[in-house]
Amino acid sequence: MTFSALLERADVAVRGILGGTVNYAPSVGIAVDVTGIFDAVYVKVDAGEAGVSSTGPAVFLRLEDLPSDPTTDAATVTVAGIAYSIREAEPDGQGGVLLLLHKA
Amino acid sequence: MAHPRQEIRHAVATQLTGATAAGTRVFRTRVLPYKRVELPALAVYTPTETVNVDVDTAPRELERSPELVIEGAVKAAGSENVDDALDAMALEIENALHADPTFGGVAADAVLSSTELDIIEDGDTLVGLVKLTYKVEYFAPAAVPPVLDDFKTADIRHNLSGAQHVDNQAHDSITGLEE
Repeated sequence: MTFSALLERADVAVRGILGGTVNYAPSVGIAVDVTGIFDAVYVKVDAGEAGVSSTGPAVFLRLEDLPSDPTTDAATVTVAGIAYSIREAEPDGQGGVLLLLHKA
Repeated sequence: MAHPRQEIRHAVATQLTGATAAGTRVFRTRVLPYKRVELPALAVYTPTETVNVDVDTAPRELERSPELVIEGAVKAAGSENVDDALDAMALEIENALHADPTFGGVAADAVLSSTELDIIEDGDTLVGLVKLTYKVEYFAPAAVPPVLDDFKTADIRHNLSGAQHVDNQAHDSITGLEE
């Protein structure tokens, strides 16, 4: 088994346990519900002397589940009722993509 | 007696309170991160100061020029452009300080010397930062003069050439000088 295939099986297994429903809406076309792993870890925004307490929402998805390529499409995602825009899409080169999010 | 820089920071914070979109969220030397609900907000700093020692006065007086930094932080609200919000806040700060560049008399003058704008995307919303730097001038004694007792009495002896016996020295005793 290739490393890529092994990683895909691992992604599927992990998403099956840790994942939740993520609504992915391409800029053109119909939104779909996919399984992804979402987190919003604490982030200190480095703004001036004080900074700002914030979170860094991000979701991991499999590209094959998505109706558009988030690296080129201005899609939006909704998780737990909160809508986000995609500020950055980071493909892992193995079929997965980490979407860094902003509240819409 | 507070240091003049402290008086300047307090006076500037007072002058800015209620004069911008930050409302009463004006902090002096804020170092703890803002919570998102605290934005927009302002913070006042005096991180550096230069001193002109070529002032020829007696007693010696120093011409001091602290760098007054005012940082305004905003977050993106809806479709509002963060840079527009930053420029609006900068204008409010400039107008508030221009109204009295002596900050109630604690400084001789204050002039805007630079403005920096920054937009940071790391968090869950865009955060904008505007940093206005003012060159402030004030004058202060080189050293704080000691607090002396009132001059009330004088006890004066004249000892010519240091050779006169104490019984032969002129002696004046003056009192009631405080009146």
